[in-house]
Amino acid sequence: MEYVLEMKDISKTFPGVAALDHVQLRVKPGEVHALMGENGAGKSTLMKILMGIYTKDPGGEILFDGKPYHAANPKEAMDTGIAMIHQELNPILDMAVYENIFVGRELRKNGLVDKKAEIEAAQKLIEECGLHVSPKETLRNLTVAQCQLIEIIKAISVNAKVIVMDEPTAAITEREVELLFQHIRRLTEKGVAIIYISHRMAEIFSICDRVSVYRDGQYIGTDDTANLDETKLIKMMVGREITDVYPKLDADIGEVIFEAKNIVRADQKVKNVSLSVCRGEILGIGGLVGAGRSELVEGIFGMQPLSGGEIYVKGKKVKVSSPRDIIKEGVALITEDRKVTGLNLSGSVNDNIAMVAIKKLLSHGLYNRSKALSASQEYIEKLNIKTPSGNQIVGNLSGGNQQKVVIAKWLLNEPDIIILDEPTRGIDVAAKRDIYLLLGQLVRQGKAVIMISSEIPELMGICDRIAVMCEGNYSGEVQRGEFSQERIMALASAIKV
Amino acid sequence: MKDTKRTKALISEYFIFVIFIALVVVLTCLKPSFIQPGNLVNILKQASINGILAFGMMFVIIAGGFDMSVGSTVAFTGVLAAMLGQGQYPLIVPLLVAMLAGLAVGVVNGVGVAVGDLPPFIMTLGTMTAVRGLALLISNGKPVIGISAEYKAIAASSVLGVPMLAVFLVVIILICSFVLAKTVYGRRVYACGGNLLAARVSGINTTKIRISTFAIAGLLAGLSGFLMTSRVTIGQPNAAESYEMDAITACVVGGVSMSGGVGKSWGVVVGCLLITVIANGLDIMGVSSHWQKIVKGAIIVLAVLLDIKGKGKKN
Repeated sequence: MEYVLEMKDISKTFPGVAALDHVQLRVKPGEVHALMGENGAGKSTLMKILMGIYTKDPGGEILFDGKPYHAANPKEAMDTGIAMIHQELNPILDMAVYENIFVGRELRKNGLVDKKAEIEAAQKLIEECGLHVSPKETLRNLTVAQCQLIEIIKAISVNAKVIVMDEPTAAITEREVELLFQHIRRLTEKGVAIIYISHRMAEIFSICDRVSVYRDGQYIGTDDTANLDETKLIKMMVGREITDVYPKLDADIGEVIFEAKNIVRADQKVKNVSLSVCRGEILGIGGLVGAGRSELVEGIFGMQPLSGGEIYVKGKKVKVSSPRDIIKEGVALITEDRKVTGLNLSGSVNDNIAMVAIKKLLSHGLYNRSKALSASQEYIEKLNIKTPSGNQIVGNLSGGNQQKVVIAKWLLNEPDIIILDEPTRGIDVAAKRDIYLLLGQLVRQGKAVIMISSEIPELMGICDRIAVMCEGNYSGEVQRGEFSQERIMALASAIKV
Repeated sequence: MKDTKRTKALISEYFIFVIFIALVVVLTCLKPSFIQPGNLVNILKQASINGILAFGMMFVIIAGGFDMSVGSTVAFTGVLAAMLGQGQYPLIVPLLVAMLAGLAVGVVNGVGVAVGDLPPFIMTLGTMTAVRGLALLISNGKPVIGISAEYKAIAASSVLGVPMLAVFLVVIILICSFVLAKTVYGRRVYACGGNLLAARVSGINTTKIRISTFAIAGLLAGLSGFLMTSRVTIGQPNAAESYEMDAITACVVGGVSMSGGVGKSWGVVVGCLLITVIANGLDIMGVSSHWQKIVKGAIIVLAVLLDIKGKGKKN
């Protein structure tokens, strides 16, 4: 038998939208099979059908091990031999590690939970994974990366024949990615097939054997990774050639407009970091997950208390005790998690855009609807936000367009310094490109941009200078002329070169 | 260094217990009669019905829900039990009918929340109102009198000096603690409240679990209704007003998280005793009932505030 899993002619229609239109997927035993496509291409929908979370439209068929397969719910899928690591799915934070690993398939003795056996089994799995946590530790006390690894351990321990991994590396560090890859190799040697979903090209080429590409709910094609390169893959995903993935606009670099000196956070997550940025400059902040980059900008922005440091905006010293103090000086922060700190997801595009600069939209002290509408219309056009109208609920837009709404909301306030924390995370290639171009236009107007990103190619593509952090410290910076991936990685892991 | 850290962690974990002990000591110093066996028996009696309700509520809240309807259910099932407990049937009949009626209300709540996807607050607010109406309807709005002597004797009797009501409470506490801590079902109740989506994709039938927690709350409300009628010797359709709030208070004071997924049985026991002791203590000190409410409200907020602050420092 050539394939362990065959999904043929699968369609799924949501009210008004065809999410999947007669697509297919064929997975061989022991291979790592990448699913690629932009957001909204239908990858997640296809996997949810496989796991029994969604029901496919009538017609089409799924064969597992050569036999017709149907899962009515995730439990049936797991019992048959398919497990999934879900993207952005928080584990149960108030439960212990071992409880999380065995949730839904608790080990029993005399009909009761066999806590001792669970702890022992969990300990073994954790050690195999090279993780150093106690199985009795509550997940709330672990880092995001550790939680992610627990999710991976959980999926592996089901003894599935097919494991779906949806963005498994989104929150883990390079070293842990390497551990994950070792695990994947060990599994594939045993004949387990992995379906791997990721936006990170480098990972696709280093771990995957074959790639299937989807676009707008259509199946585009499948090929061996060896026959592909980045350009070809992007062309399959986007439908047209994007030669210039990181467009960089020229801008004149002027005087220093923003300076943060010796920033120390009260909780010691940032220890004595200084940085400055000039008009017309894009400054990147690189580093591994957990290096303290978000913590630094949150501290500067007054979201978390500082125990030391000075902040200067346009040469003037600013005392920051809450975000209001620094917003007034023309600084904007576009936070990492747009769903939590960026948007009112159940509000309309118009409402969201009006959130920050509401004072600009008043007449005689009252909210002026038509002013707000025209302002929001202006930014919808300027930022190329794809929405049926300004009245659309933001929660219904794609990730890329949601991110543009967050940016629009801040731009309406006309800031001079714009700080963005992982602005392109989880959004598709075309929307990323729009955002890079927008940042270029902003610095051309004499504004300054500070951008945090975990993707080094992106930082190298559009920044003028990259400052790197490691474990809460400033570990160095690199000028555009001297950019190299090795140099930045070395600084990020604080290796002297 | 490490020891002091551990001690601090222990104190913050058992903080509510410390508050409880402190309160008992203070009350004993102020009024030595507080610690008399007669008064302690009284406290146990007062705590028992609320305690049974609080344990039902605990299942619902840990699974991420909320139940406003238990007070009405107590009144409704109490009236039912009074009507059937006039001596015409053996006592097991009113007991079973009361518990089944409570169970039915609970299942309706559970289906509305888990299948109909209604917010628990709205669904149980609806049943709270409707079930109160049912109690008034079947009793014609009048107290049901004339329950048999045998039925009255349940609440009045005691075993080895422990009031019968407290025996019921202890049995319920033991069963519930065992189910929550040791069984697969209990583990899954925590999982549902901790993260409903994660529980669902882990293969747990979350609909069934959530319905069952409301069913347990209803069942225990039915038991409480039966016991209450025995205690007050009439079936009163207007009884048990705001009992749901006392049950929720016992849970919250006892460290059960309103967002679900967290809570320990001993915490609810302490929470329940704490609010009973406050009421009892103020009573024997002769504080007016108006003041009692104000003090009770303040203590609830204060206890939970101290608890949160204590836990916050740990992290």
